Amino acid sequence: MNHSEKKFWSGNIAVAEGALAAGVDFYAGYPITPSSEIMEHMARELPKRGGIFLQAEDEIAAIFMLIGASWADAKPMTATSGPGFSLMQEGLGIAVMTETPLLVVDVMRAGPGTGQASKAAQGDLLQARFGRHGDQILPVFAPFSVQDCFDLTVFAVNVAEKLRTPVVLLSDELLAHTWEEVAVPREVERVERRRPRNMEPPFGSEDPRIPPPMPRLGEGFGVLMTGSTHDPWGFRRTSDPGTHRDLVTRLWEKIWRNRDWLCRYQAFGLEKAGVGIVAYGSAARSALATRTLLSGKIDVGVVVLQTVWPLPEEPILKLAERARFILVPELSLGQLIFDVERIVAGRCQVLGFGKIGGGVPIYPEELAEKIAEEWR
Amino acid sequence: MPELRLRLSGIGGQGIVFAGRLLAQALLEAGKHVTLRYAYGAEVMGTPVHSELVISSEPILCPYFEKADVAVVLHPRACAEAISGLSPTGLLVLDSGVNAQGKIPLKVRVEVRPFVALSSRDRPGDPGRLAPVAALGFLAKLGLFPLDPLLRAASTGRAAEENLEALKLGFSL
Repeated sequence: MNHSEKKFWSGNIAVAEGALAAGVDFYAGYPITPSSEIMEHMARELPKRGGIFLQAEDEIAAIFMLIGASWADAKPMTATSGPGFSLMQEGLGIAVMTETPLLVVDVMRAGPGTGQASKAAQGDLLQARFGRHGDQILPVFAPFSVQDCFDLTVFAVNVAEKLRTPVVLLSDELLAHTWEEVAVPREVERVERRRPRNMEPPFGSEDPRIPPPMPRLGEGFGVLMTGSTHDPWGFRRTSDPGTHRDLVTRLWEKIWRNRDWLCRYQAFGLEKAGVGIVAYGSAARSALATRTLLSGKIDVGVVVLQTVWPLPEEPILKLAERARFILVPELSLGQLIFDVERIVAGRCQVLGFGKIGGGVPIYPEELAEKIAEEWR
Repeated sequence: MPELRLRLSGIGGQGIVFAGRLLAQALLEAGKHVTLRYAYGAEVMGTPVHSELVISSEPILCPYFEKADVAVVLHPRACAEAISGLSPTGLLVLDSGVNAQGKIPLKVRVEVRPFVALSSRDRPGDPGRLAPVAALGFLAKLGLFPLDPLLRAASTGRAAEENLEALKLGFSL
Protein backbone atom coordinates (compact mmCIF):
# COMPACT_ATOMS: atom_id res chain seq x y z
CA MET A 1 0.00 0.00 0.00
CA ASN A 2 1.19 3.48 -0.81
CA HIS A 3 0.69 5.33 2.47
CA SER A 4 0.34 8.97 1.74
CA GLU A 5 -1.67 10.77 4.36
CA LYS A 6 -1.81 10.67 8.16
CA LYS A 7 -5.17 10.89 9.89
CA PHE A 8 -6.07 10.86 13.57
CA TRP A 9 -9.05 8.55 13.71
CA SER A 10 -10.92 6.39 16.17
CA GLY A 11 -11.25 2.69 15.45
CA ASN A 12 -14.87 3.22 14.42
CA ILE A 13 -14.01 5.99 11.96
CA ALA A 14 -11.14 3.92 10.56
CA VAL A 15 -13.54 1.02 9.91
CA ALA A 16 -15.97 3.33 8.11
CA GLU A 17 -13.20 4.92 6.06
CA GLY A 18 -11.72 1.51 5.22
CA ALA A 19 -15.11 0.39 3.95
CA LEU A 20 -15.47 3.52 1.82
CA ALA A 21 -11.97 3.08 0.42
CA ALA A 22 -12.79 -0.51 -0.52
CA GLY A 23 -15.84 0.63 -2.44
CA VAL A 24 -18.72 0.05 -0.01
CA ASP A 25 -21.61 2.00 -1.49
CA PHE A 26 -24.58 0.84 0.57
CA TYR A 27 -25.13 1.00 4.31
CA ALA A 28 -28.22 0.01 6.25
CA GLY A 29 -28.22 -0.20 10.00
CA TYR A 30 -29.73 0.58 13.33
CA PRO A 31 -27.67 2.60 15.82
CA ILE A 32 -26.27 0.82 18.84
CA THR A 33 -23.45 1.66 21.24
CA PRO A 34 -20.50 1.24 20.80
CA SER A 35 -20.77 0.95 17.02
CA SER A 36 -22.85 4.07 16.34
CA GLU A 37 -20.00 6.28 15.14
CA ILE A 38 -19.60 3.96 12.15
CA MET A 39 -23.21 4.55 11.19
CA GLU A 40 -22.95 8.28 11.82
CA HIS A 41 -19.85 8.51 9.66
CA MET A 42 -21.45 6.56 6.84
CA ALA A 43 -24.60 8.70 7.08
CA ARG A 44 -22.43 11.78 6.53
CA GLU A 45 -20.01 10.41 3.96
CA LEU A 46 -21.85 7.86 1.79
CA PRO A 47 -24.34 10.21 0.12
CA LYS A 48 -21.48 12.61 -0.69
CA ARG A 49 -19.70 9.78 -2.49
CA GLY A 50 -22.72 8.61 -4.46
CA GLY A 51 -23.69 5.80 -2.12
CA ILE A 52 -26.92 4.98 -0.32
CA PHE A 53 -27.47 5.21 3.43
CA LEU A 54 -30.58 3.84 5.09
CA GLN A 55 -31.52 3.80 8.74
CA ALA A 56 -33.50 0.60 9.11
CA GLU A 57 -36.31 -0.01 11.59
CA ASP A 58 -34.22 -2.68 13.29
CA GLU A 59 -31.24 -4.94 12.75
CA ILE A 60 -33.28 -7.72 11.13
CA ALA A 61 -34.45 -5.32 8.44
CA ALA A 62 -30.92 -3.96 8.06
CA ILE A 63 -29.28 -7.30 7.30
CA PHE A 64 -31.96 -8.22 4.76
CA MET A 65 -31.59 -4.80 3.12
CA LEU A 66 -27.91 -5.65 2.71
CA ILE A 67 -28.80 -8.92 0.98
CA GLY A 68 -31.15 -7.15 -1.42
CA ALA A 69 -28.66 -4.38 -2.11
CA SER A 70 -25.86 -6.84 -2.76
CA TRP A 71 -27.93 -8.67 -5.39
CA ALA A 72 -28.68 -5.29 -6.93
CA ASP A 73 -24.92 -4.85 -7.39
CA ALA A 74 -24.03 -2.84 -4.29
CA LYS A 75 -21.12 -3.50 -1.96
CA PRO A 76 -23.05 -3.41 1.31
CA MET A 77 -22.16 -3.18 4.96
CA THR A 78 -23.67 -2.65 8.37
CA ALA A 79 -22.31 -2.22 11.87
CA THR A 80 -23.83 -3.29 15.13
CA SER A 81 -23.07 -4.61 18.57
CA GLY A 82 -24.05 -7.70 20.60
CA PRO A 83 -27.85 -7.43 20.80
CA GLY A 84 -28.09 -6.32 17.17
CA PHE A 85 -25.61 -8.95 16.06
CA SER A 86 -27.83 -11.62 17.59
CA LEU A 87 -30.77 -10.32 15.54
CA MET A 88 -28.71 -10.46 12.36
CA GLN A 89 -27.82 -14.13 12.62
CA GLU A 90 -30.80 -15.34 10.60
CA GLY A 91 -29.96 -12.98 7.75
CA LEU A 92 -26.31 -13.96 7.89
CA GLY A 93 -27.32 -17.59 7.48
CA ILE A 94 -29.39 -16.70 4.41
CA ALA A 95 -26.40 -14.72 3.06
CA VAL A 96 -24.16 -17.78 3.49
CA MET A 97 -26.67 -20.01 1.69
CA THR A 98 -27.32 -17.53 -1.13
CA GLU A 99 -23.61 -16.62 -1.40
CA THR A 100 -24.26 -12.93 -0.92
CA PRO A 101 -21.22 -10.69 -0.40
CA LEU A 102 -21.67 -8.29 2.50
CA LEU A 103 -19.82 -7.00 5.56
CA VAL A 104 -21.17 -7.03 9.11
CA VAL A 105 -19.10 -5.20 11.71
CA ASP A 106 -19.72 -6.29 15.29
CA VAL A 107 -18.22 -3.86 17.80
CA MET A 108 -18.23 -6.09 20.85
CA ARG A 109 -19.60 -4.82 24.15
CA ALA A 110 -20.22 -6.55 27.43
CA GLY A 111 -23.12 -9.00 27.32
CA PRO A 112 -25.13 -11.19 27.50
CA GLY A 113 -28.42 -9.38 27.04
CA THR A 114 -28.02 -5.63 26.86
CA GLY A 115 -25.13 -6.00 29.31
CA GLN A 116 -22.96 -2.91 29.59
CA ALA A 117 -23.62 -0.93 26.44
CA SER A 118 -20.58 1.31 26.48
CA LYS A 119 -18.06 -1.14 27.93
CA ALA A 120 -15.66 -3.39 26.05
CA ALA A 121 -15.71 -7.18 25.88
CA GLN A 122 -14.65 -9.98 23.57
CA GLY A 123 -17.55 -12.29 24.24
CA ASP A 124 -18.90 -12.61 20.68
CA LEU A 125 -16.06 -14.63 19.17
CA LEU A 126 -17.87 -17.95 19.18
CA GLN A 127 -21.11 -16.33 18.06
CA ALA A 128 -19.38 -14.68 15.10
CA ARG A 129 -18.16 -18.09 13.99
CA PHE A 130 -21.05 -20.34 14.88
CA GLY A 131 -24.06 -18.08 15.49
CA ARG A 132 -26.03 -19.43 12.55
CA HIS A 133 -27.79 -22.77 12.46
CA GLY A 134 -26.74 -25.51 10.07
CA ASP A 135 -23.32 -26.42 8.67
CA GLN A 136 -21.82 -23.13 7.66
CA ILE A 137 -18.66 -21.10 7.73
CA LEU A 138 -17.89 -17.47 7.06
CA PRO A 139 -14.63 -15.56 7.47
CA VAL A 140 -14.22 -13.52 10.66
CA PHE A 141 -11.55 -10.85 10.98
CA ALA A 142 -10.45 -8.91 14.06
CA PRO A 143 -8.33 -5.73 13.91
CA PHE A 144 -5.94 -4.96 16.76
CA SER A 145 -5.12 -1.29 16.16
CA VAL A 146 -6.78 1.70 14.57
CA GLN A 147 -4.50 1.26 11.55
CA ASP A 148 -5.61 -2.34 11.36
CA CYS A 149 -9.26 -1.23 11.59
CA PHE A 150 -8.71 0.53 8.28
CA ASP A 151 -6.53 -2.07 6.59
CA LEU A 152 -8.48 -5.12 7.69
CA THR A 153 -11.82 -3.60 6.72
CA VAL A 154 -10.46 -3.11 3.20
CA PHE A 155 -9.35 -6.74 3.20
CA ALA A 156 -12.70 -7.95 4.59
CA VAL A 157 -14.71 -6.15 1.89
CA ASN A 158 -12.45 -7.63 -0.78
CA VAL A 159 -12.77 -11.14 0.67
CA ALA A 160 -16.56 -10.81 0.58
CA GLU A 161 -16.41 -9.97 -3.11
CA LYS A 162 -13.73 -12.45 -4.05
CA LEU A 163 -15.32 -15.43 -2.31
CA ARG A 164 -18.93 -14.26 -2.69
CA THR A 165 -19.60 -14.61 0.99
CA PRO A 166 -20.75 -12.62 3.99
CA VAL A 167 -17.85 -11.66 6.27
CA VAL A 168 -17.74 -10.43 9.84
CA LEU A 169 -15.32 -7.88 11.26
CA LEU A 170 -15.05 -8.20 15.04
CA SER A 171 -13.99 -5.00 16.72
CA ASP A 172 -14.47 -4.10 20.37
CA GLU A 173 -15.37 -1.01 22.35
CA LEU A 174 -11.78 -0.32 23.34
CA LEU A 175 -10.63 -0.22 19.73
CA ALA A 176 -13.76 1.61 18.65
CA HIS A 177 -13.06 4.51 21.01
CA THR A 178 -9.28 4.56 20.75
CA TRP A 179 -7.83 7.28 18.57
CA GLU A 180 -4.49 6.84 16.84
CA GLU A 181 -2.68 8.04 13.77
CA VAL A 182 -3.51 6.08 10.66
CA ALA A 183 -1.45 6.08 7.48
CA VAL A 184 -4.07 6.22 4.77
CA PRO A 185 -2.96 4.89 1.40
CA ARG A 186 -3.63 6.91 -1.70
CA GLU A 187 -5.27 3.89 -3.27
CA VAL A 188 -6.37 0.50 -2.03
CA GLU A 189 -7.07 -2.68 -3.91
CA ARG A 190 -10.72 -3.09 -4.85
CA VAL A 191 -11.92 -6.56 -5.80
CA GLU A 192 -14.96 -6.70 -8.04
CA ARG A 193 -17.21 -9.73 -8.03
CA ARG A 194 -17.17 -12.04 -11.03
CA ARG A 195 -20.11 -11.83 -13.43
CA PRO A 196 -21.55 -14.79 -15.34
CA ARG A 197 -20.56 -15.31 -18.96
CA ASN A 198 -22.44 -17.56 -21.37
CA MET A 199 -25.11 -18.66 -18.93
CA GLU A 200 -22.86 -19.98 -16.19
CA PRO A 201 -24.86 -21.37 -13.26
CA PRO A 202 -25.06 -18.83 -10.42
CA PHE A 203 -24.84 -21.45 -7.67
CA GLY A 204 -22.41 -24.01 -9.00
CA SER A 205 -18.66 -24.25 -9.37
CA GLU A 206 -16.41 -27.07 -10.44
CA ASP A 207 -13.53 -25.83 -8.32
CA PRO A 208 -14.83 -25.38 -4.77
CA ARG A 209 -12.16 -22.77 -4.05
CA ILE A 210 -13.67 -20.48 -6.67
CA PRO A 211 -17.19 -19.13 -6.11
CA PRO A 212 -19.74 -19.16 -8.90
CA PRO A 213 -20.27 -15.88 -10.75
CA MET A 214 -22.94 -13.58 -9.33
CA PRO A 215 -25.50 -12.15 -11.72
CA ARG A 216 -26.80 -8.63 -11.29
CA LEU A 217 -30.54 -8.84 -10.69
CA GLY A 218 -32.67 -7.13 -13.26
CA GLU A 219 -30.18 -7.38 -16.07
CA GLY A 220 -31.88 -10.00 -18.19
CA PHE A 221 -30.69 -12.96 -16.19
CA GLY A 222 -33.49 -14.88 -14.50
CA VAL A 223 -32.24 -15.95 -11.11
CA LEU A 224 -33.89 -18.22 -8.61
CA MET A 225 -32.60 -17.36 -5.19
CA THR A 226 -33.53 -19.28 -2.08
CA GLY A 227 -32.28 -20.03 1.39
CA SER A 228 -33.41 -23.61 0.91
CA THR A 229 -31.19 -26.28 -0.58
CA HIS A 230 -30.80 -25.55 -4.28
CA ASP A 231 -29.02 -26.90 -7.31
CA PRO A 232 -26.46 -24.92 -9.38
CA TRP A 233 -29.31 -23.11 -11.17
CA GLY A 234 -31.12 -22.17 -7.99
CA PHE A 235 -33.93 -24.73 -8.18
CA ARG A 236 -35.09 -25.90 -4.75
CA ARG A 237 -34.08 -29.48 -4.03
CA THR A 238 -35.29 -29.89 -0.51
CA SER A 239 -35.49 -33.69 -0.50
CA ASP A 240 -32.41 -34.62 -2.50
CA PRO A 241 -29.53 -35.72 -0.25
CA GLY A 242 -26.92 -35.40 -2.99
CA THR A 243 -27.76 -31.80 -3.83
CA HIS A 244 -27.69 -30.82 -0.17
CA ARG A 245 -24.38 -32.59 0.39
CA ASP A 246 -22.79 -31.01 -2.69
CA LEU A 247 -24.02 -27.50 -1.90
CA VAL A 248 -23.19 -27.37 1.79
CA THR A 249 -19.81 -29.03 1.23
CA ARG A 250 -18.96 -26.56 -1.53
CA LEU A 251 -19.98 -23.56 0.61
CA TRP A 252 -17.74 -24.87 3.41
CA GLU A 253 -14.81 -25.63 1.13
CA LYS A 254 -15.05 -22.24 -0.57
CA ILE A 255 -13.80 -20.74 2.69
CA TRP A 256 -11.85 -23.63 4.20
CA ARG A 257 -9.72 -24.35 1.14
CA ASN A 258 -8.71 -20.70 0.86
CA ARG A 259 -7.25 -20.63 4.36
CA ASP A 260 -3.71 -20.09 3.10
CA TRP A 261 -4.42 -16.49 2.10
CA LEU A 262 -7.47 -15.81 4.27
CA CYS A 263 -5.65 -16.45 7.54
CA ARG A 264 -3.84 -13.28 8.49
CA TYR A 265 -1.75 -12.82 11.58
CA GLN A 266 1.31 -11.03 12.88
CA ALA A 267 4.03 -12.90 14.73
CA PHE A 268 6.69 -11.46 17.02
CA GLY A 269 9.66 -13.30 18.45
CA LEU A 270 8.48 -16.86 17.82
CA GLU A 271 11.99 -18.21 17.22
CA LYS A 272 13.24 -17.59 20.75
CA ALA A 273 9.96 -17.69 22.63
CA GLY A 274 10.25 -19.04 26.16
CA VAL A 275 6.65 -18.02 26.71
CA GLY A 276 3.93 -17.42 24.16
CA ILE A 277 0.90 -15.15 24.02
CA VAL A 278 -1.91 -15.67 21.51
CA ALA A 279 -4.36 -12.79 21.35
CA TYR A 280 -6.64 -10.78 19.10
CA GLY A 281 -8.32 -7.37 19.12
CA SER A 282 -7.52 -4.87 21.84
CA ALA A 283 -6.03 -7.63 24.03
CA ALA A 284 -3.31 -8.07 21.39
CA ARG A 285 -2.07 -4.52 21.97
CA SER A 286 -1.51 -5.31 25.62
CA ALA A 287 0.20 -8.55 24.63
CA LEU A 288 2.68 -6.67 22.45
CA ALA A 289 3.45 -4.20 25.23
CA THR A 290 3.94 -7.11 27.64
CA ARG A 291 6.63 -8.49 25.35
CA THR A 292 8.50 -5.20 25.64
CA LEU A 293 7.97 -4.99 29.42
CA LEU A 294 9.59 -8.40 29.90
CA SER A 295 12.35 -7.84 27.37
CA GLY A 296 15.72 -8.93 28.77
CA LYS A 297 14.03 -11.08 31.44
CA ILE A 298 11.79 -13.53 29.61
CA ASP A 299 11.59 -14.02 25.85
CA VAL A 300 7.94 -13.65 24.97
CA GLY A 301 6.66 -14.62 21.54
CA VAL A 302 3.35 -13.11 20.47
CA VAL A 303 0.89 -14.25 17.80
CA VAL A 304 -1.66 -11.57 16.94
CA LEU A 305 -4.60 -13.15 15.17
CA GLN A 306 -6.20 -10.91 12.55
CA THR A 307 -8.28 -13.72 11.09
CA VAL A 308 -10.15 -15.41 13.90
CA TRP A 309 -12.07 -17.85 11.72
CA PRO A 310 -10.71 -19.92 10.11
CA LEU A 311 -7.76 -19.73 12.46
CA PRO A 312 -4.11 -19.40 11.45
CA GLU A 313 -2.83 -22.58 13.09
CA GLU A 314 0.77 -22.62 11.88
CA PRO A 315 2.14 -19.74 14.03
CA ILE A 316 0.39 -21.13 17.12
CA LEU A 317 2.00 -24.51 16.49
CA LYS A 318 5.38 -22.86 16.02
CA LEU A 319 4.94 -21.09 19.34
CA ALA A 320 3.87 -24.32 21.04
CA GLU A 321 7.02 -26.09 19.87
CA ARG A 322 9.25 -23.59 21.66
CA ALA A 323 7.34 -22.04 24.55
CA ARG A 324 7.07 -23.48 28.04
CA PHE A 325 3.49 -22.23 28.14
CA ILE A 326 1.11 -20.10 26.12
CA LEU A 327 -1.07 -17.42 27.69
CA VAL A 328 -4.38 -16.51 26.05
CA PRO A 329 -5.61 -13.10 27.28
CA GLU A 330 -9.15 -12.20 26.30
CA LEU A 331 -11.93 -9.95 27.56
CA SER A 332 -14.18 -12.93 28.22
CA LEU A 333 -14.22 -15.91 30.51
CA GLY A 334 -12.48 -17.89 27.77
CA GLN A 335 -13.43 -18.47 24.14
CA LEU A 336 -10.27 -18.27 22.07
CA ILE A 337 -8.56 -20.56 24.54
CA PHE A 338 -10.64 -23.55 23.33
CA ASP A 339 -9.02 -23.27 19.91
CA VAL A 340 -5.54 -22.67 21.20
CA GLU A 341 -5.83 -25.78 23.40
CA ARG A 342 -7.07 -27.79 20.40
CA ILE A 343 -4.25 -26.60 18.16
CA VAL A 344 -1.52 -26.94 20.77
CA ALA A 345 -2.79 -30.43 21.63
CA GLY A 346 -0.59 -30.93 24.67
CA ARG A 347 2.68 -29.68 23.15
CA CYS A 348 2.87 -27.13 25.96
CA GLN A 349 0.65 -25.79 28.71
CA VAL A 350 -2.09 -23.33 27.72
CA LEU A 351 -3.23 -20.81 30.33
CA GLY A 352 -6.22 -18.53 30.11
CA PHE A 353 -6.31 -14.92 31.23
CA GLY A 354 -9.94 -13.87 31.13
CA LYS A 355 -11.19 -10.52 32.34
CA ILE A 356 -14.74 -9.21 32.21
CA GLY A 357 -16.80 -6.28 33.37
CA GLY A 358 -16.79 -2.52 33.27
CA GLY A 359 -14.81 -2.24 30.05
CA VAL A 360 -11.51 -2.41 31.91
CA PRO A 361 -8.71 -3.29 29.46
CA ILE A 362 -6.23 -6.08 30.01
CA TYR A 363 -3.15 -4.17 31.13
CA PRO A 364 0.37 -5.16 30.06
CA GLU A 365 1.55 -5.01 33.68
CA GLU A 366 -0.91 -7.67 34.81
CA LEU A 367 0.02 -9.95 31.91
CA ALA A 368 3.70 -9.48 32.73
CA GLU A 369 3.01 -10.32 36.38
CA LYS A 370 1.09 -13.47 35.42
CA ILE A 371 3.87 -14.60 33.10
CA ALA A 372 6.59 -13.92 35.69
CA GLU A 373 4.59 -15.86 38.29
CA GLU A 374 4.12 -18.89 36.02
CA TRP A 375 7.73 -18.73 34.79
CA ARG A 376 9.15 -19.24 38.30
CA MET B 1 9.84 13.89 26.55
CA PRO B 2 9.36 10.54 28.35
CA GLU B 3 6.01 8.81 27.88
CA LEU B 4 3.27 10.67 29.74
CA ARG B 5 0.03 9.00 30.74
CA LEU B 6 -2.73 11.49 31.39
CA ARG B 7 -6.32 10.87 32.49
CA LEU B 8 -8.90 13.67 32.34
CA SER B 9 -12.01 12.84 34.37
CA GLY B 10 -15.37 14.49 34.78
CA ILE B 11 -18.96 13.74 33.92
CA GLY B 12 -20.88 13.50 30.66
CA GLY B 13 -21.67 16.96 29.32
CA GLN B 14 -18.54 18.65 30.67
CA GLY B 15 -16.50 18.27 27.48
CA ILE B 16 -13.97 15.71 28.71
CA VAL B 17 -13.89 13.96 25.34
CA PHE B 18 -13.54 17.26 23.50
CA ALA B 19 -10.61 18.30 25.69
CA GLY B 20 -8.88 14.97 25.04
CA ARG B 21 -9.25 15.41 21.30
CA LEU B 22 -8.07 19.02 21.46
CA LEU B 23 -4.92 18.07 23.34
CA ALA B 24 -4.24 15.09 21.09
CA GLN B 25 -4.63 17.19 17.97
CA ALA B 26 -2.38 19.92 19.36
CA LEU B 27 0.43 17.56 20.31
CA LEU B 28 0.24 15.57 17.09
CA GLU B 29 0.73 18.80 15.20
CA ALA B 30 3.67 19.54 17.48
CA GLY B 31 5.27 16.29 16.31
CA LYS B 32 4.44 14.05 19.29
CA HIS B 33 3.04 10.56 19.18
CA VAL B 34 -0.36 10.51 20.87
CA THR B 35 -3.08 7.98 21.55
CA LEU B 36 -6.44 8.86 23.02
CA ARG B 37 -9.05 6.60 24.46
CA TYR B 38 -12.27 7.73 26.04
CA ALA B 39 -14.62 5.84 28.27
CA TYR B 40 -18.12 6.80 29.26
CA GLY B 41 -21.31 5.38 30.72
CA ALA B 42 -24.50 4.35 28.95
CA GLU B 43 -26.28 7.50 30.12
CA VAL B 44 -26.28 10.61 27.93
CA MET B 45 -25.09 12.94 30.69
CA GLY B 46 -24.05 12.92 34.30
CA THR B 47 -21.99 9.76 34.71
CA PRO B 48 -18.19 9.61 34.86
CA VAL B 49 -16.30 10.16 31.62
CA HIS B 50 -12.57 9.71 31.18
CA SER B 51 -10.24 10.73 28.38
CA GLU B 52 -6.95 8.84 28.55
CA LEU B 53 -3.95 10.02 26.57
CA VAL B 54 -0.52 8.56 26.08
CA ILE B 55 1.93 11.19 24.86
CA SER B 56 5.42 10.28 23.74
CA SER B 57 8.31 11.15 21.48
CA GLU B 58 8.38 7.50 20.36
CA PRO B 59 5.70 5.37 18.70
CA ILE B 60 3.27 4.11 21.34
CA LEU B 61 2.97 0.38 21.78
CA CYS B 62 -0.17 0.26 23.90
CA PRO B 63 -2.82 2.96 24.40
CA TYR B 64 -4.25 1.26 27.51
CA PHE B 65 -2.89 1.95 30.98
CA GLU B 66 -4.03 1.39 34.52
CA LYS B 67 -2.05 4.01 36.43
CA ALA B 68 -1.86 7.55 35.11
CA ASP B 69 1.10 9.85 35.77
CA VAL B 70 -1.27 12.79 35.87
CA ALA B 71 -4.97 12.83 36.70
CA VAL B 72 -7.29 15.80 36.33
CA VAL B 73 -10.60 15.54 38.19
CA LEU B 74 -13.34 18.04 37.43
CA HIS B 75 -16.34 16.50 39.13
CA PRO B 76 -16.83 14.74 42.47
CA ARG B 77 -18.56 11.78 40.79
CA ALA B 78 -15.41 10.92 38.85
CA CYS B 79 -13.09 11.34 41.81
CA ALA B 80 -12.87 7.82 43.27
CA GLU B 81 -12.11 6.15 39.89
CA ALA B 82 -9.56 8.81 39.01
CA ILE B 83 -7.65 8.56 42.29
CA SER B 84 -7.56 4.76 42.25
CA GLY B 85 -6.17 4.98 38.73
CA LEU B 86 -3.34 7.37 39.62
CA SER B 87 0.27 6.40 40.12
CA PRO B 88 1.19 6.56 43.86
CA THR B 89 3.73 9.25 43.00
CA GLY B 90 1.63 10.99 40.38
CA LEU B 91 0.21 14.46 40.01
CA LEU B 92 -3.43 15.06 40.90
CA VAL B 93 -5.06 18.23 39.58
CA LEU B 94 -8.41 18.82 41.26
CA ASP B 95 -11.18 21.26 40.69
CA SER B 96 -11.95 23.20 43.88
CA GLY B 97 -15.43 21.68 43.91
CA VAL B 98 -14.00 18.18 44.37
CA ASN B 99 -13.37 17.19 47.95
CA ALA B 100 -10.83 14.38 47.98
CA GLN B 101 -9.61 14.87 51.52
CA GLY B 102 -8.44 11.65 53.13
CA LYS B 103 -8.52 9.72 49.85
CA ILE B 104 -5.25 10.86 48.32
CA PRO B 105 -2.11 8.72 48.72
CA LEU B 106 0.67 10.47 50.66
CA LYS B 107 3.21 10.82 47.87
CA VAL B 108 0.80 12.24 45.33
CA ARG B 109 1.37 15.90 44.48
CA VAL B 110 -1.91 17.81 44.55
CA GLU B 111 -2.86 21.03 42.81
CA VAL B 112 -6.34 22.49 43.38
CA ARG B 113 -7.74 25.23 41.17
CA PRO B 114 -11.29 26.61 40.59
CA PHE B 115 -11.56 25.52 36.94
CA VAL B 116 -15.33 25.03 36.94
CA ALA B 117 -16.21 28.15 38.95
CA LEU B 118 -13.96 30.49 37.00
CA SER B 119 -14.66 29.17 33.53
CA SER B 120 -18.42 29.32 34.02
CA ARG B 121 -18.71 32.52 36.07
CA ASP B 122 -20.25 34.60 33.26
CA ARG B 123 -22.24 31.69 31.85
CA PRO B 124 -25.44 31.10 33.83
CA GLY B 125 -26.48 27.44 33.87
CA ASP B 126 -23.15 26.20 32.54
CA PRO B 127 -22.02 23.07 34.44
CA GLY B 128 -18.41 23.86 33.54
CA ARG B 129 -18.12 23.05 29.86
CA LEU B 130 -14.91 25.02 29.53
CA ALA B 131 -13.33 23.61 32.70
CA PRO B 132 -11.50 20.76 30.91
CA VAL B 133 -9.99 23.21 28.42
CA ALA B 134 -8.98 25.53 31.28
CA ALA B 135 -7.36 22.52 32.98
CA LEU B 136 -5.30 21.89 29.83
CA GLY B 137 -4.07 25.49 30.05
CA PHE B 138 -3.05 24.84 33.64
CA LEU B 139 -1.20 21.64 32.71
CA ALA B 140 0.68 23.65 30.10
CA LYS B 141 1.62 26.15 32.80
CA LEU B 142 3.00 23.28 34.87
CA GLY B 143 5.23 22.45 31.89
CA LEU B 144 3.67 19.11 30.91
CA PHE B 145 3.39 20.31 27.32
CA PRO B 146 3.72 23.66 25.55
CA LEU B 147 0.79 26.08 25.35
CA ASP B 148 1.32 27.26 21.78
CA PRO B 149 0.17 24.09 19.96
CA LEU B 150 -2.93 24.09 22.15
CA LEU B 151 -3.69 27.67 21.24
CA ARG B 152 -3.28 26.84 17.57
CA ALA B 153 -5.50 23.77 17.80
CA ALA B 154 -8.16 25.72 19.72
CA SER B 155 -8.22 28.59 17.26
CA THR B 156 -10.62 26.88 14.88
CA GLY B 157 -14.17 25.66 15.33
CA ARG B 158 -17.43 27.13 16.51
CA ALA B 159 -16.28 27.80 20.07
CA ALA B 160 -12.76 28.94 19.21
CA GLU B 161 -12.98 32.21 21.09
CA GLU B 162 -14.28 30.61 24.29
CA ASN B 163 -11.75 27.80 24.16
CA LEU B 164 -8.85 30.19 23.67
CA GLU B 165 -10.07 32.24 26.60
CA ALA B 166 -10.36 29.11 28.76
CA LEU B 167 -6.83 27.99 27.85
CA LYS B 168 -5.44 31.38 28.79
CA LEU B 169 -7.46 31.41 32.01
CA GLY B 170 -6.07 28.00 32.99
CA PHE B 171 -2.54 29.11 32.16
CA SER B 172 -2.96 32.10 34.47
CA LEU B 173 -4.01 30.08 37.54
